[in-house]
Amino acid sequence: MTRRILPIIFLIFVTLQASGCATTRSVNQFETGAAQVAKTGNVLLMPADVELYVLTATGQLQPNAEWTTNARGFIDTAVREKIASLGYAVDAFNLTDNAPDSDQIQLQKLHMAVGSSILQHSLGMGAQALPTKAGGKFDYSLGSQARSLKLNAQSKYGLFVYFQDSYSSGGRVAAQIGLALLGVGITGGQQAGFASLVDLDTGDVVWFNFLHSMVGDVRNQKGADSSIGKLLNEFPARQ
Amino acid sequence: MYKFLITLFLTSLTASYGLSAESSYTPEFEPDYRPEISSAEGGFWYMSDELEKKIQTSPYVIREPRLNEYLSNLVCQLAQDYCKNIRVYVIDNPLFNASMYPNGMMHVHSGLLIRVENEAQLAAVISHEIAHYLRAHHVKRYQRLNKGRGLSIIFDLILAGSTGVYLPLSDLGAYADAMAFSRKHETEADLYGARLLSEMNYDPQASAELWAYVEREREADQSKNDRNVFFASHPAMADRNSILTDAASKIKQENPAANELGSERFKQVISSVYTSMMKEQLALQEHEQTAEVLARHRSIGYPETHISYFEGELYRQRKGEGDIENAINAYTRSTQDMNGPVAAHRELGYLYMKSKQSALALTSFEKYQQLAPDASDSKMIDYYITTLRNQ
Repeated sequence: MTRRILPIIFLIFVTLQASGCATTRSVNQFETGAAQVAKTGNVLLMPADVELYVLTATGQLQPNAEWTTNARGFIDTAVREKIASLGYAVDAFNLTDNAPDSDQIQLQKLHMAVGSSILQHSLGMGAQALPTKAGGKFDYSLGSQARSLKLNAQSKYGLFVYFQDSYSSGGRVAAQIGLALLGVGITGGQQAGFASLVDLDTGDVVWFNFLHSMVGDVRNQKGADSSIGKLLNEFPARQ
Repeated sequence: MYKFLITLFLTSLTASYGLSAESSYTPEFEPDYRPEISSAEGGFWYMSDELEKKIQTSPYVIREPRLNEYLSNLVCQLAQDYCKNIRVYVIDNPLFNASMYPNGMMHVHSGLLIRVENEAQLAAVISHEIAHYLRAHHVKRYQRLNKGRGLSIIFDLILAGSTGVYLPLSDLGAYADAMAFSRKHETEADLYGARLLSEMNYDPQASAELWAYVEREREADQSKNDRNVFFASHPAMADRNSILTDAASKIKQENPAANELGSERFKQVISSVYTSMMKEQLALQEHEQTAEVLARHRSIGYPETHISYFEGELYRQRKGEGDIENAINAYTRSTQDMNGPVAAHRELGYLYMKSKQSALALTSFEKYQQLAPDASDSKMIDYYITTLRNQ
């Protein structure tokens, strides 16, 4: 169910600001003083959730396995380098318990739900705002159970990245040009993604950023570096 | 995307039915086939693989080893050379269904297992799904969807922009189209499936018998408030049955040995997981359907103590006239030997308490406490016992 939500939000953004080039919307609990950037501690990289599509002439998003598999590698590298450049030691997540009720799996599912709620209720789109989050209140948390994601005593934060990208097929490009001649604008491929930083001691989401962009290409390392650079642009440097 | 995939494949058993009987009985691909990773079909497989990863860690999968081993063996026999390419998962869902994905993942709902009467009927459904797989029906349907879906998705987008609500109307349009396109596929899967079935000497008539039961259960349902797309989309059930019956008698002439039902084997396996599979059916609160299912179970010969327990549950939920007494009688039958669910004693305790029979209530709660000392509700039961003793 939650898988469904990002594309929905994605569509709404697309329709409302089809002329925009690249936008990000973020929440930074460090700036507001609600959280303190750690002086020590590593960032644990959770497996990036990546999907790449072909946008066909008729507007259908067709998953592309090859692009997706490659992009996952590029994005992983880009995130790792960016975080390291901000002074953090980076750990890779290692699934050690794949039982259905394992905390490791449940917490990833929970994060998907929480992340989608943040997008839906706290980042723009007034109609979807919740009364419990009035005045920009931002108190999303996975709960203290998040501690079980820690690999070792140094793990301080967990970083979750979701990235979806689509590219116009030849037919779609033709349709764009054809309809543009008739005065109708239809969109080409575009990127949407979010990154979310969770304090693994409290489970609180301390930093969150949403990216939507009409340009960019994560099908190569350089493009992935650039897109991830935008997504993690305001990521807090280690003190 | 996953919802879309699921919607698409729920149609595999549930799509409406056509009269065309032209069919092919040759697989579309060799065993161990995988599409090019960069192709559209490769993308479709990839999504199915991703879904399968989620299924592997899903709490809605029934993992009981004996049942799973039994189903895997059955699939293996029927799929022959393709045995190792198909993986079966039992989904804890009380709605009658089974489905197949292009990558070889098969879902069998618990709602199917509690409705089939014998191994031949189960094998009939599994063969039907294997036939969909071997004929690559899902891939053909997907390609069709990609062609037909364009304009309506743009309407959805406009609606989303103006109302802030994304209503996937194009899914519905696509769904209707997929249903129509799949008529041909359903016939093909039925007839190809009947062949696979009889090659293993199962009675090909089993399939028509199962549909007849499903129709009977549907007739019994007074609410007609079906949650299952299956029931909503079957105007041509009679046609389907006559085609299947004709095909079955033809096959039986060619292969007189095709008469196996496998009733006893099937009963043994299902009996061992009966309680866990029936729970969700009761949760649907579809009383007439549940009554049909339970009557069928009695004729199959599942343990009487288990059937009685769920009859008790049915009456307790239904709350009709005389149902407290009906429920007490049914739960009492289920406690006749030690094999029935221990929860029957607790339910008896509550019902006796409700009908002011304190002494009987106390005995029932004490029995429950004795049989399930570590139950999660033990504190509650302690409280009732203390209260009843002090009365």
